[in-house]
Amino acid sequence: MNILLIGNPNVGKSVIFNRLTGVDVISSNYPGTSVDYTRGFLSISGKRHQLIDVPGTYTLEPTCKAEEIAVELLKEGDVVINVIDATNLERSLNLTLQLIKQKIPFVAALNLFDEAEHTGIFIDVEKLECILNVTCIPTCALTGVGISKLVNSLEEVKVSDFDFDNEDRWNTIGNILQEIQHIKHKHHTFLEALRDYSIKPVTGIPILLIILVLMFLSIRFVSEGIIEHISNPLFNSLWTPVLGKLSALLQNNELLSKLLFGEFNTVLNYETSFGLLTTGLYIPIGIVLPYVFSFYTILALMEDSGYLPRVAVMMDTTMHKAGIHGLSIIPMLLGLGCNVPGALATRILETRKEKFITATLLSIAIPCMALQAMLFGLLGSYGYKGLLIVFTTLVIVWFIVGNILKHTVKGTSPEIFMEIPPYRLPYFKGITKKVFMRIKWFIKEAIPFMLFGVLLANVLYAFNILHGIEKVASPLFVHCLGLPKEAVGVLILGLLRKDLAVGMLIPLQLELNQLIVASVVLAIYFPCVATFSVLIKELGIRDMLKSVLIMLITAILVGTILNQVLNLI
Amino acid sequence: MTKILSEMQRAEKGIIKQIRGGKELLARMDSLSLYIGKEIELVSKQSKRGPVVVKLGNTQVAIGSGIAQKIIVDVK
Repeated sequence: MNILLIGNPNVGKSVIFNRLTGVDVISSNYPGTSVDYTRGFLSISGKRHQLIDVPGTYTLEPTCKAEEIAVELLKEGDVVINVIDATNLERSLNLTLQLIKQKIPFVAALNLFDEAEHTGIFIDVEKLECILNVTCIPTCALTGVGISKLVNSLEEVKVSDFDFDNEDRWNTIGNILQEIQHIKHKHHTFLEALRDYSIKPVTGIPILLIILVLMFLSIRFVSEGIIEHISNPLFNSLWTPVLGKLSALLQNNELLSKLLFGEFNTVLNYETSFGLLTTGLYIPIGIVLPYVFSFYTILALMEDSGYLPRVAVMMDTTMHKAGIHGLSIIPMLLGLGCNVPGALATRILETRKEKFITATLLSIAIPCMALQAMLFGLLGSYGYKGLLIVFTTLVIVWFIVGNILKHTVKGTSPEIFMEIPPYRLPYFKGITKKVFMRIKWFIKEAIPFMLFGVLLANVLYAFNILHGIEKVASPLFVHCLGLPKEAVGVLILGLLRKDLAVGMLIPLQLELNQLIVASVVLAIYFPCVATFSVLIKELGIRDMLKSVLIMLITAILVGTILNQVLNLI
Repeated sequence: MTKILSEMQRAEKGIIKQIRGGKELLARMDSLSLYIGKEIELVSKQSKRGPVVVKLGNTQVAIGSGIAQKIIVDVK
């Protein structure tokens, strides 16, 4: 039997799915977290059934891509669990009535039932069952209340015989609500007051700025704390002795020990030695992972509290200057952690134009945490000047490229039109699960590319393969960008991992101005192989090639201009 | 008194009277329970051309300025 979970966006379908199947799906407090669908299995009295988490939809007459997928999936289902938002019965029942009209057998889960009671909404479930003549079960997916009852109810699912005039749907709903819903007026709660203040421009924009600054400072504080007090001591006290013993064993094999340990004479430098077991592991685990961890923890708090859609509304006017609307801020923010989830999140956007602009700007001007972590280390040692120039340049480039694309890319950018969820207190398990999934994913993606990158670097230098390319590219590098020709290798390996590329800049012993130019060019010229492959899927190969061309041209232009300007100062 | 949604003031309440749009817009509005006869309250307005946020029942919806210009509201 195929069981479908159907309901409005952001009513907790994915949380119920997690409960029923044990399969982890990322859930957040904003509409459209699951644009794709997930399948899992659950067993009811010994029999295995397939459960499909259908993307949220408000209607069975699709108005966007996610809703089209939902309607398409409906054909596959034998029975449906209609997840109803108890805090918002009117809108949920609209979908329920459409299921009834199509004679689809379903049971209704009135989710967020406890939250509804807290806000003063009381629902007579028995009466609702009587009217619709289907099973209705109050649930609270987060705590698991009602879930086992829901599973048991799936053994006997019927088609509702409730009859109504489809043209008069909203009136019908109104009449049902009058009979079953009782609203007690409550005084404004703290969360409601916050809801108003955080979206009015006068108070909302200062709040946004304070949150962004706090976010930035706490990410640096937490990550640097982890590096200093956990990862460095661990590497030094546990890993270094192991490496010492290993290298003693491999003393006679010069090639292998160079590959594994890199330049490892008397003192081991994890950042610059460039061996598979030294730099290859230290950069992703020792430096980048602490940043990825603290970034995604803080972002998860923002996601689950419901703050992100408010950021989208407040940023809407700004984002329009680049031809995209406020919702594009979500891929951009995710991209600050790692560009890959950012690229995947471009799915929440509707038109080709929006997707193209968002993906291109994401690749050009949104440095991922891996790159940022290395830049903090490299440029941070010179104080804030270098970092400030790099980030300001990227912001300016974001606006200029965005504005050019807005006027040149064909197609339309629709306007923002979305539900803003209520604030909810993030729950610990939800946060840890999401952070854990993203970290697991980071490790799985980053470490193989990193090791391959280190290997490739060693091969390229050992056989002097770069020599030819360096010669060809040297006029561009030396004259336009003011960088030594050896930086060619850095950019080639930056295709694989940008953190690795920054690590390769260290032994070149560049001046601050050169480091700034190199960092900016490195950020702009190409996303990274992992992001690139995701974007090919999302945009198609033709659009992606166009996008890459824009990136390369932008990188050369910006690098050249920056080099000139910095030399004048 | 009737007003265009984008010209409503903060905290003003009203009932949606008319939606000047094609079938597609009507369907999208309908799916978010913004239908003719629905009571709404303006929560906030961003800049001049920015989106408006309206409260309907227990939820809030952000509406881009272009769409907000197509909605006529009977203001109380």
